[in-house]
Amino acid sequence: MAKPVKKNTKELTRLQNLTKGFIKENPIFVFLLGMCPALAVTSTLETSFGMGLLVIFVLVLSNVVVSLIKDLIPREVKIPAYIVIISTFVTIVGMLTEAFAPLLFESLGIFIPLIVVNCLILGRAESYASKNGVINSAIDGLGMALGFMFALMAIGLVREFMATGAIAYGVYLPIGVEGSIVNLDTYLFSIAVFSGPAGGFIVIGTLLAIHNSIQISKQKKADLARQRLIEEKKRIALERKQQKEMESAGGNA
Amino acid sequence: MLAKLKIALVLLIIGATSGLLIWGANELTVDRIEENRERARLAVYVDMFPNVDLSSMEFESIENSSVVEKITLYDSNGNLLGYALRGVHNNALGFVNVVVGVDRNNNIIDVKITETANTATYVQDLRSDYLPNLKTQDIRNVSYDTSTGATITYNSVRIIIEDAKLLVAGDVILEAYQTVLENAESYEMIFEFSDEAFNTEYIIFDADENRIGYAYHAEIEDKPMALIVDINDVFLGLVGVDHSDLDSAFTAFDNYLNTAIEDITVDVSGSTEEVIGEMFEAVQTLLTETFHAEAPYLVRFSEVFEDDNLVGYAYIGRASGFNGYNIVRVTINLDGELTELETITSRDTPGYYNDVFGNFQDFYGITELEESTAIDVYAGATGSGDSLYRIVSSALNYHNERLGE
Repeated sequence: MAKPVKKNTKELTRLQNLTKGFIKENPIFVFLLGMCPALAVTSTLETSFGMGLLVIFVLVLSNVVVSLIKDLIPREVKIPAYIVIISTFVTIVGMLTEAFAPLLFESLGIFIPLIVVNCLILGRAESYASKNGVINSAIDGLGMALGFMFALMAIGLVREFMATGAIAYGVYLPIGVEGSIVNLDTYLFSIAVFSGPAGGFIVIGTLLAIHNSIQISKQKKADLARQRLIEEKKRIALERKQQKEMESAGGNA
Repeated sequence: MLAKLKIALVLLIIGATSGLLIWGANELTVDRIEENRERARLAVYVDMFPNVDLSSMEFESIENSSVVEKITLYDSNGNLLGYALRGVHNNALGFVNVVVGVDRNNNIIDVKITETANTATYVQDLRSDYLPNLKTQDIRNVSYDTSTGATITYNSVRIIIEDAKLLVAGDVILEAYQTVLENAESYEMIFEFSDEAFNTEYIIFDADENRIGYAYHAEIEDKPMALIVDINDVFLGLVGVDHSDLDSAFTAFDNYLNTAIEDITVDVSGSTEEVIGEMFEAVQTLLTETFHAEAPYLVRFSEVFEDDNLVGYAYIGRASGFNGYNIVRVTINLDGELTELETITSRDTPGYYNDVFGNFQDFYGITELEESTAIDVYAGATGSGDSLYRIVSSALNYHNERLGE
């Protein structure tokens, strides 16, 4: 009789693949990848959003291409090949940004070409796209990049608000209107340190601490629930055993 | 071998495909990127002149000046708005690119440092704290901050503004001199007076850089004017500077034209004429009691008496230090020995200047000064030390030449 094939219970659904990068495997708050742009471009919400869009473009496309040609690339040169692919898309996205969003291009500056060496992108190419199909790789790239973007935006939101008392839009992105979502009187609320590197560290550290404490708390609850389940099962098993013993003792009598 | 060929082929295909994609993206975006860069370059002009019609801007390349481009700006109705002057100056820290905006009334609209290799922190301080002070000033008479903490960069900005002044406002001083001295080609301010009826002294040069005259500037009833003499102190005339109209008052002095200034007795009537007369007499006193010094870094000299006996000569010298000009009086006795140094004006940082000046006072008694000797006492203030060395050595050399004749 053939042994039944054990189903891989850890295989994710496509939805889970998409959303895993939002919280559970967030590139910034869990894996601590891409910390350089996380500090450098998150002085405003809009630049954070802009960088996030660029990373989505690069990560999705590079994952797709790597997945498409993964069987053609010899093992010895796979990393250089991945880097060429990633840098091609970074160059293209740089040109598109300079052409259609020049203010964003100027604001992001050197951090656009530095997307090439963002560990997130090479890491996903190596660890996922080179081992999975095209659709799943695309979804993985999209999910991780969205998680990266949301993390950047969370940092940018806090930093811009703390530094200026306002959240502006339309300044860097060509959306046709310019204004602010919130705008407190800056004489009352403006802590300039948050617009600088020190403020970036403070905000990232704080958000990391909040994220980790929530995860730890969830993990503790899950552990507690599992512990209770195990104890309940033990108790039920013991009761059954005792009942059987009583029944067999009654039968003998 | 086959495996290596396969690797090479794969990398070649990937590289070629990448190149093709990048080329395609470039073709799609190159025009737009160029347009954005041009717009960014012009943005500084739009910022200074919000009503400018970009299509009607006139660009003129300039040579032999720190200003490299003069842009004339008009509004959509063709009315002149003003000028933007783009200048480049290289200093000890690198290049500084500046744009000076001037309206049609010669008032500075703004001064912007657009690009520079100088220290970013100091440049930012200039941008926020000192360049705004230049706004609304008449470019023909700009008052600069004396202490900015970013001297080298600020000096570059000042040089560009001064060159911009000549292009925009015209060289009104030279134009004034040329009404009396037709062959005047250039001039140099050599002295500023603080308590006289006139305020500045200029040397006038011809095209071959020979001295052809001197000019003494004053403001009479808020109108700038100059008294001009030739190299022998013969009175050549009074001129209004920058089209100031004092001609009717000047006619009272026509009788004195082409007369040695020391031989003139001023006798004029009229309120304006009398004020000009006071200025005239003050210049007369200066030129009678002192002599022009025709040597580098020296302005003039006078005789020094003790108990009615001539004991030496005092030379007033002027040379650029670190922050600007230093003016020093050098007294030398008849034996050619340095006997006294006195600072009349110094624009250098007092702490540095005073230290090195004190060291130069140790040279009393010398009859000549070699640079190798002077350099030992610069005390870390090279700019101040250089200016003092040039003045003292020039005075000693000139004195020895004169008395040797």
